[in-house]
Amino acid sequence: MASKTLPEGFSTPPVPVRPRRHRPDWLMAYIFLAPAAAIFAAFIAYPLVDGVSTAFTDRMIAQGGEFNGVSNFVTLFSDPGFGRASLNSLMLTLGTVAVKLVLGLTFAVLLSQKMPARGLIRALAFLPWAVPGMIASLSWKWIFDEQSGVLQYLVLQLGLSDRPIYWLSDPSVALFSVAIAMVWQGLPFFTMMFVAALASVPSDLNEAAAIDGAGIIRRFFSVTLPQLRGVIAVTVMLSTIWTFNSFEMVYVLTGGGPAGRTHILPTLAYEYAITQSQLGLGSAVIVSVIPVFVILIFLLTQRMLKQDEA
Amino acid sequence: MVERQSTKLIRNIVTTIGVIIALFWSMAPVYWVAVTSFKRSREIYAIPPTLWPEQFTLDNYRAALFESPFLHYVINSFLVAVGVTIVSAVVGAMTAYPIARMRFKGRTVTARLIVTAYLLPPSLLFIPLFLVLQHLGLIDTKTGLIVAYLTFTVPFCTWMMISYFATIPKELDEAALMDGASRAQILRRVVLPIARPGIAVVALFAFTHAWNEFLYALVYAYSDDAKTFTAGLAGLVMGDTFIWGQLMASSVIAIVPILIIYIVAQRYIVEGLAAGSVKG
Repeated sequence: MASKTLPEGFSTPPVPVRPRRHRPDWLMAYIFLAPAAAIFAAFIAYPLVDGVSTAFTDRMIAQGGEFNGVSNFVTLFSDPGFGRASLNSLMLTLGTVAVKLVLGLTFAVLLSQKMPARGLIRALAFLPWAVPGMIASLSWKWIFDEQSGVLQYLVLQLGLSDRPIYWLSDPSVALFSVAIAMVWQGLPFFTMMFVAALASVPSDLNEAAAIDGAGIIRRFFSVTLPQLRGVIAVTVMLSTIWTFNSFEMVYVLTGGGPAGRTHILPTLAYEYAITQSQLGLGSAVIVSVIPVFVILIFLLTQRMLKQDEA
Repeated sequence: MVERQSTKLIRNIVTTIGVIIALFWSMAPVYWVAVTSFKRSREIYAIPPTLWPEQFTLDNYRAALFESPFLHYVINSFLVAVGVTIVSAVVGAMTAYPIARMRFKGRTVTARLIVTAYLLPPSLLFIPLFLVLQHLGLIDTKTGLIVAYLTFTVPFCTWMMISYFATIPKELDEAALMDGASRAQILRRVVLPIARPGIAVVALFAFTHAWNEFLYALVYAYSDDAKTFTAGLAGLVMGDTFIWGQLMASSVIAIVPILIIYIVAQRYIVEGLAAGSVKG
């Protein structure tokens, strides 16, 4: 520890007695990690703990609030709005992730075929990924516009419906509209991941199966698909987390309306905590979903760190 | 692979149709935004809608840029995103290096915490982080937004840089250590220069994340001095009447910087995305 006065180890007297006079590796490691640790402690860990404890108080935005036990949770669980938001979140997540998985696989297989200008075609197919979420939400709000929206016109013109569809204000349709927009926005991530994964699937197995007489569809399901299992698992889990928490699509498209029918848990939390300034109740909404995330994140870190720890 | 001529033909037809559908699905909404932005307002609301502007106009762009605070919001977004990118690239590299290279107690735990933080969605954090920023007097400031964005960009950058650093041979570090270089010097002079392309991609991701973020911007910034374009647009949308032409022109302006990044770095982005989320 004598080297402590010589920060870099290079400003030593002209003739160094020992060539290496550095701080021990473990100490340097901690110094390197310090800034990230400070950010983590102050802006992630502390707020998380604070958020959980706020859920057990009647805290409002402007005032401190007192401990009120589980009464926020009692309020929530007897509130039909919370039940509906949970169900909406669940259906929207499961529905869109399933559609994105199937379409993503299909698009990835298509885009992996030999074709002219494949790079350009891929870039264009991935385009929605590059569109900021806010802009994606706005675009779809314009497309779904009930008077001048292009979709209204197309549907009536193509005879798919004989009366106007209230894409965003009909409670039975609005969630479906949100889902369409979310699939549009989230699909490229699936396609990109699967395109990358398909490129790394060794082709000799596939060729062997072809020689054995397996058709193209058979080969996909019994040779290619099993090799994508790992990528599919990670992609689905990541997308589940992101989709479950995507806020802007619902916020911009419907604002949770009509009459709270399209709220999902994040927009409901926002409504309680920020719009109505009931921080305690808003935190309770979030705390009630934490267990789901703990499980998902645990499973994902397990997978993502596998190689690192090997 | 031997394939019958007819099978091959069918396969080509199916592929072509599929690719056309895929391209239509991904491009049509973007096209519609762009086309709308160049139409006069009478044409925008006309039925039937026109596929191409009858009278091409830049009025919506003029309105967006000079008759609304939108340009100000774009500049705010840019400043915040640049701040976030610089801090998270530096902190990310500093954090990733020991995890990729050094031996210390708690290395595995640290790696695990980073992935966890990366996966932690902003919607879990936005309420309590509001209170923290309030205590620090950082609500409604660009600094406050930068701080808030660091909560996801730092773990993300760290996580991706660990994989980039892992591709650099350990022997280089060891040789430099033998020569008496300190760990800080090795990171700066040996590892970073080699990892430069990877770091560029990571920085682009951080920039994009910060540029696109909405929830924190909505909750933590409300004055024109701090609002980013995402929050600014939300403010315009929540009214009862939408000026669609101007909104679409604003959208195009906000997409352009990201699109340029995307076109230039598309190949690396796809690779980076795959490398960052799947290890093993």
